[in-house]
Amino acid sequence: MVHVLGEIDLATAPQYRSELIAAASASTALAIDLTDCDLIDSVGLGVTVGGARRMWGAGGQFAVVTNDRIRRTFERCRLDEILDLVDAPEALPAA
Amino acid sequence: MIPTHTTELDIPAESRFVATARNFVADAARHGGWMDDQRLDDLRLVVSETVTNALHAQATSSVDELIHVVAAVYADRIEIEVTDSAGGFEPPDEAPALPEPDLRREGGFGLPLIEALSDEASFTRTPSGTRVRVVVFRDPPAA
Repeated sequence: MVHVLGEIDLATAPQYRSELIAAASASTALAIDLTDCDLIDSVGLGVTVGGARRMWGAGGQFAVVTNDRIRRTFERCRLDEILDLVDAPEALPAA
Repeated sequence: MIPTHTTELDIPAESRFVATARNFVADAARHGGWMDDQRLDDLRLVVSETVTNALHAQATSSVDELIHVVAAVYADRIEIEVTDSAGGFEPPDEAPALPEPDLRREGGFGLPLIEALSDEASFTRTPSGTRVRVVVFRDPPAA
């Protein structure tokens, strides 16, 4: 589980990307917890899509735990259609 | 209509100042009576995307000038102008449509987000770069 606090934008996306890549290489089921995230911008959305592609490409699982404001941003970009967005970690599919 | 107040900010072309611009405009909005709600979230994201575009444009042109941000607060809306000095960028006539969702696509969300979250967005060529003007009404447009 990668747990993100604060805001994901141009400045913080590189750290988000490196954390996500590190976690993806160490696991077959990865969840990104964005429930304590206040903002995700287009750069952060792209990093998240990259994480999904990496995990699913390797046959693993990938899910994003969102709060309402973060989910809205994913939905604005129709990424809820291709990513697994869940409201709480308990809703994650079993690894 | 005259704005209730107008504030201006020049930020260095560095990624950490995207948050500075975002908070600057959000503070101007709160000063104008906006509440911390979904529309303020929209406004913050619009500012992020607009300033990020300016940073990308200048980085592509190897320009290190300050980026100029103006926030004019009206009773019913905020008008934001972000001006960069990245000469050579050809502004789009209108923001491009959202691409089809695709796992192979990690970019291209910025301009569609600006279009989706703002009530007006326009791109103007200036002598030295591009000025992006976006308008966000306090109340979202009726669906």
